[in-house]
Amino acid sequence: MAYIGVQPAEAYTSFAVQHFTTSATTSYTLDNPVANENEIALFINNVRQEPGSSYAYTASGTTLTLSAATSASDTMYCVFIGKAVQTVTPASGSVTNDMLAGSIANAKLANSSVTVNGTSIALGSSGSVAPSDNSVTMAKLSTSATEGNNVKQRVAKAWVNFNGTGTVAIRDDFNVSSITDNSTGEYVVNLSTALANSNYAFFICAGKAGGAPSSGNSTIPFTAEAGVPSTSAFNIVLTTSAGSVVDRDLVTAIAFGESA
Amino acid sequence: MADQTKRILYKQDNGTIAIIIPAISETMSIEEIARKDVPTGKAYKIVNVSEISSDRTFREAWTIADNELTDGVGD
Repeated sequence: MAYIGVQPAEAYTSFAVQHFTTSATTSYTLDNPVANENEIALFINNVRQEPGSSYAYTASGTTLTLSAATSASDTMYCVFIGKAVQTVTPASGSVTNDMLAGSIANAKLANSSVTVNGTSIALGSSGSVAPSDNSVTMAKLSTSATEGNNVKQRVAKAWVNFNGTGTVAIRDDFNVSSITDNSTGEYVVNLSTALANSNYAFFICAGKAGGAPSSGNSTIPFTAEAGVPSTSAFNIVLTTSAGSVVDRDLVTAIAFGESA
Repeated sequence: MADQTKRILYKQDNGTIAIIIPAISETMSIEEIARKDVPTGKAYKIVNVSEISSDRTFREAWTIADNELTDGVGD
């Protein structure tokens, strides 16, 4: 059968009957609350009584009041013809997620029933949930300037270690797509992912492996005027203390700044 | 890891060759690195690393003919 609106929770319900132990009184207590006397059919000595304040009885809530007192020899019962269904208990296994009005309070959950990222969590305890491997991205880190664990501002955004002599080659790197060998002692570090702005800090350290201390073996790293950093690259120029550009076999650079 | 056996060549404004060395950690192809890191509008050529001299004594004198730069143009 089709319904317009919400389908009733129960198709029908049985009438309830209450038998009273009578005495010389006009007041009785009903087993079920009612809105008014019209919701019950009252019988005294098997004669149906007329409801209403001007007639045989009134009823409100669980209070039944007769217009005249019964006697102990009377028989009296009522049929609840308007008995309200106060509570409907869903059938076992019938409650779905969509039937829930909101979130479930912790107190309603068994401690062993919650699993986050594969970790069983005891609710209300001081346990913690570890993120899964390789799941924390830079975007998940705070950008707050006042937060103590402000990792996003503190970790290196790029670094590289390369050999600038002979066949120039990168040994290892992070967030570097390539280096450009422009000339003797002049290189460009190209970043894989650009930084948010060009106001980042970068540091260069270069040296000659096995070289004894001397003006020829010293290395002064700096960035030439043309090497003012862009968001995606910065320049390296290496010279001796005499000012001559020079290749070095150990060149390292690291950049700190704002992630894009 | 980008192809470590390759290098990207292009000609700088002063006429000397710039050589791009792909990074170890980079996952882009050598062609993608070339388009990204070669300056915009400059023609480039991809060569084997063995084609580049390891003797850098006259590094500033290295050059390449424009008609050799046929593999693409920097983005």
